[in-house]
Amino acid sequence: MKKLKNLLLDLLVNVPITILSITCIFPVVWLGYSSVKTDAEFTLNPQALPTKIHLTNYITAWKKASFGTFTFNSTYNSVITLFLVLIISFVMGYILSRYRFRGRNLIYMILLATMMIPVYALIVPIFIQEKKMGILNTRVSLIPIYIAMELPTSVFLIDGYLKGISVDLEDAASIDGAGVLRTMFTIMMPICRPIMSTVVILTFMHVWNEFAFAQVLLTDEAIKTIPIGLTYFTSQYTTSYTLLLASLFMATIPVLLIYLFFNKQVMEGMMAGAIKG
Amino acid sequence: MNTREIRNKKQRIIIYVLILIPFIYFLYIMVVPLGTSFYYSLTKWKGIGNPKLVGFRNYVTLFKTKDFWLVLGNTLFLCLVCTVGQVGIALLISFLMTFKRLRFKNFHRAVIFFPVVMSAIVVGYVWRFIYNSNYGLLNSFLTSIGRSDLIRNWLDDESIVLRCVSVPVIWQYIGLYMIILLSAISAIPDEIFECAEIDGCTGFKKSVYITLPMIWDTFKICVILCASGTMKIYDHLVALTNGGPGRATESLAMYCYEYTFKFGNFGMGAAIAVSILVIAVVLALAIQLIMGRKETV
Repeated sequence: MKKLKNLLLDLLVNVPITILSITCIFPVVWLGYSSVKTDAEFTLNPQALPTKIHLTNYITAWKKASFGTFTFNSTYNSVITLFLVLIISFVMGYILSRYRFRGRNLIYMILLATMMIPVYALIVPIFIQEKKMGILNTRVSLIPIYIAMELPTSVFLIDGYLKGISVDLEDAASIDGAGVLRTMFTIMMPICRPIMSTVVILTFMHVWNEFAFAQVLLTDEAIKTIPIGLTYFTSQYTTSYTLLLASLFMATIPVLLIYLFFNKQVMEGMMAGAIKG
Repeated sequence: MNTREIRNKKQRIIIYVLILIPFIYFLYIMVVPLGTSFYYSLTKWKGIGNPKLVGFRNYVTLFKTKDFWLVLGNTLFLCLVCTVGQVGIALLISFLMTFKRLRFKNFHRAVIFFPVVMSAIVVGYVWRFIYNSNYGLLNSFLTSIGRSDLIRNWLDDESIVLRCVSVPVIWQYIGLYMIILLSAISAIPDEIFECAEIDGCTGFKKSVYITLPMIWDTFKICVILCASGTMKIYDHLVALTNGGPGRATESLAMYCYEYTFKFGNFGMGAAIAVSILVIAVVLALAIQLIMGRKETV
């Protein structure tokens, strides 16, 4: 009797979570195997495994549907944003963490408060601003905004990490005559490597997936990003479901790989970035 | 505290320059537009020429429009359902995660979190395939278990579509709140649980009477984040239904986009954007007030 009760309790705890886990993994797996089917095969039975692997969808998406261009643009935006966010947030995080000066708390509070702003409240004025400055619909339309959007989380991550690191090393460096800048970049930056990698991953995921600003600020086909590109596959290529599936899967591959290799950093970063919703 | 002293004037100048340049840039991109957004919401403006100040007329027109209330209703409905769904399920899951009976904890945690990092657009399209009435996974699953009577046009039936679109949104973010709650739970000292167990408080009783009060503040933050986050729901709906059928699944953010960039009515668009912000802030304050600060055990 006790054994039975134990078994029931085990099931009660394990089954719901396992079901949820399966539903979380299934869509990606399904995307992966469905994208190598032909349309005929797919419509016949959308659940079935493919009988043969067809890579035609990938080739079509890449060549005809200019997925290559979208990928290039997304990569371009991500890389530049990442590089600048890393430097700027490190400098801000370091100074906010190490020094106490007038206005420090105000800066801190404003950064914290802006994490709650829904980006939609900004989209109209930013659109107008960019139009006035003549950078609307160019390669630099999105990057400045992405940088600003990513700053608070990144700054807090770095600030938090530095709080746990003793200042001894820096004091020693300054006795040896190293200035603020030198201490910051040559001594502390390498030490912050673990948290910087979290910042990189988190920023990459946000920028790679960002949709709203990219949709509003870009109209030129040649500079649009992947999330925008994906919306085309339903309107322009409606005839092919598997083509859409292949492009959805391609859009997910980078994120999937990063998650597989760095899921600890991703989780840590997401928790700090959760304030952004 | 690991802080350093500012030694001389030169250092002070370097520090101010280094912090103020990026901070002013940040203000310019993220804070100034809030002000201009409010200003534009008080003007009649088509995006070209000079904006004409009209006071609160945009808001009056907006509140008189039936569609605005419909869209607001949709958004608030999604807010409620998604908050209860996401944070509620996440809470249950994190309770289960504390049980010794649960196996493969790390695996489950990693997998349940995965949808969070996926693009909302991808999630939206994938669920469109799940819901599709001809070749959708849901309907073919229902057929295969012999319940064809439950088959619906999930995304075309106005009476159920709003509930249908909330499912993917809930599903995607359970992991996020689970991780936040789990990290709060892991901060509770082990002795508290041990004492509770000695006193005979185990299982769900322990979760409700010990764990929940201990993580109440984090739980409250999750609710606020989730509610104000869902206020700006946009990407999912664009990918899932694009607001249809009719306006049945249109959100405030989509309505704002429509007014601004489809109708070219920038003043109105800004008024909707400001409303989103105001409602989000009011919601956050209301939740703060209702959930209060529960006495910790």
